[in-house]
Amino acid sequence: MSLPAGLYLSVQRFYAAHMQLLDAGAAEEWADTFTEDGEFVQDKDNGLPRRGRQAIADRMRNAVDRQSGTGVVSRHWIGMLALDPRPDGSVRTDYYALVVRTPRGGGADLHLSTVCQDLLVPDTDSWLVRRRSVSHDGRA
Amino acid sequence: MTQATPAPGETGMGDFEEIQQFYARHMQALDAGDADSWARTLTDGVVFSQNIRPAPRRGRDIVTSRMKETCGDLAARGVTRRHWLGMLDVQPRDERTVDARCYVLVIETPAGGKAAIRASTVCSDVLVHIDGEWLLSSREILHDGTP
Repeated sequence: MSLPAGLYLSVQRFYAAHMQLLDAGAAEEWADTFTEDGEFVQDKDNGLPRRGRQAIADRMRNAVDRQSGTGVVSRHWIGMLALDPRPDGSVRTDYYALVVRTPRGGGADLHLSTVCQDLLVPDTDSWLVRRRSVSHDGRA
Repeated sequence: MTQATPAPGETGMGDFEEIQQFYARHMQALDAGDADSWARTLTDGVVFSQNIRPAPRRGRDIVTSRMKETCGDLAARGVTRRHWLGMLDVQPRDERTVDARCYVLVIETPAGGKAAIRASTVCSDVLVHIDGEWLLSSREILHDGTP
């Protein structure tokens, strides 16, 4: 199946910028890459979604602030990206995400493996996340 | 956006993007234990060989059957496996065949446990383009750290 020219690279570039904002602790800027009515659900929250940009920003700001006190640095790696473009211009994505953590003065370690699914909508020459669902591997 | 037409024998940008997409779907199916979807990414006569096994496995049915056994074993042990592919180098052989060499990390998470890298491997694949789809024709897996 042929993908529209340049779509795959465009989405890869979006995710690189998006995760770099997250890992830099820029919670509000990161949340701005979701739509106003964006939705974020993780199975570790028992499927309870965060709805709306502000709720998404608030939750991430809490997580960032908690982590910055510990001196741990997290890096999100995205890979195994597959796209399903829709006729309305939105794109469903399926991908894997790894979280690598490095404690202050310590060695980097693989922290978490996840599988994710987004619905991206076009925004000028980039994308916004309308919906994200994250599933953590190994949830007992 | 226009793309330069690749010269004969070159892998175009469009092909490279599609091959990344192929690998994403191929590994997602494998890791989800979706044997039917995974089998559809293989040619009929696909050959799998590994440096840690003496004999290759030949044919889609045999290879898929082995895949099902492996996935069943992982599920029974409560282990989630993910194949992470990167450093993909694609070299065309002819108009519809490429050599694709990539690194694959095998990451496993036991139920209630912590994700860890289980293996580092190199895959030397041959992909063929048939009826608008890429399919895996052969794979040689080299496990790092083995004789």
